Amino acid sequence: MNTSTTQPAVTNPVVGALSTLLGDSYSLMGETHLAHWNVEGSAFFELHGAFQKQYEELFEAVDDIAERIRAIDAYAPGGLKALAKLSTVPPVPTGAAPAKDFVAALIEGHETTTESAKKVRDTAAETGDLETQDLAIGRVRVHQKTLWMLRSYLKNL
Amino acid sequence: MSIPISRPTSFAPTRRLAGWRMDAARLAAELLRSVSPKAADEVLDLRSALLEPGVTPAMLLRVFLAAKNRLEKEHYLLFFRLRRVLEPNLGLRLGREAASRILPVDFQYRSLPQMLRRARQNLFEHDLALTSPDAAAVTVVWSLAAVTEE
Repeated sequence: MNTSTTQPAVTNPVVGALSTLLGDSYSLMGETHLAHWNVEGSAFFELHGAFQKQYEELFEAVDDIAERIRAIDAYAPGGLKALAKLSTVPPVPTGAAPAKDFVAALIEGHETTTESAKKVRDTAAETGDLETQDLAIGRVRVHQKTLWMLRSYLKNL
Repeated sequence: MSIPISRPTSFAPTRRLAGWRMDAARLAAELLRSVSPKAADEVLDLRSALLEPGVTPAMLLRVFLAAKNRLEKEHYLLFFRLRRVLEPNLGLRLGREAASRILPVDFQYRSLPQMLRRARQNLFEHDLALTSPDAAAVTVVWSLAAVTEE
């Protein structure tokens, strides 16, 4: 199987899928950072710390995804406006809100980003780009694990 | 022997429901699959209200709050998703037509009367022409987004 990418960047569907994943991951990182700042209540210390670990992990992921776009000979999209346009991650509450609402909003964000990562995985599989597929599988796994944790937190709270 | 075949009755065309109501009805159906049979009535009422074209915004809000009070603790995520769908489409209109303003619905209240009472109190405190909180006009309305889509 050919694992190298020889298609021009603009016509490579993997680049498009990776760009969406980059936008969603960057947006989710920002939303998680906002949740880290604004969460309140008896679970503050627990959630404040958990959200920090999550946005730090996303920061590294964003770098990996952008560098993968460069490795397949395309340019990474960047800048808040451009990345926001690429993303469909829903926002977390912007003001005072129950801590559970921050968790629920981040669940929706991780669900959206999981779907983007799956799209990269499947597109990469179709084009035989195993390295990108490997990256996407890793991202799906991270988001699924985070979803399990966030959903568990919400149960019978 | 011929078997009589019933012919479909002609129905008046039903009004097309807005997309947000269909989205919310799908969430209610998902909720229905995960609640105990004892709690199914509240969810069925909510789903019916979402799918009934003639329902008023106050009726919808009332059944939503009833279901939320009973089931939110165990199904927080689904109620969060329902709130996200309902929030931009419902509003509280404060004041008379000419000078009215529409505020977002605050879902923290446990019942519609409680929510309206608080809104009337707020209006009364800021409008010197009102002689009592009960004289303040507060109505649950579809928001502009909901009306535009329908």
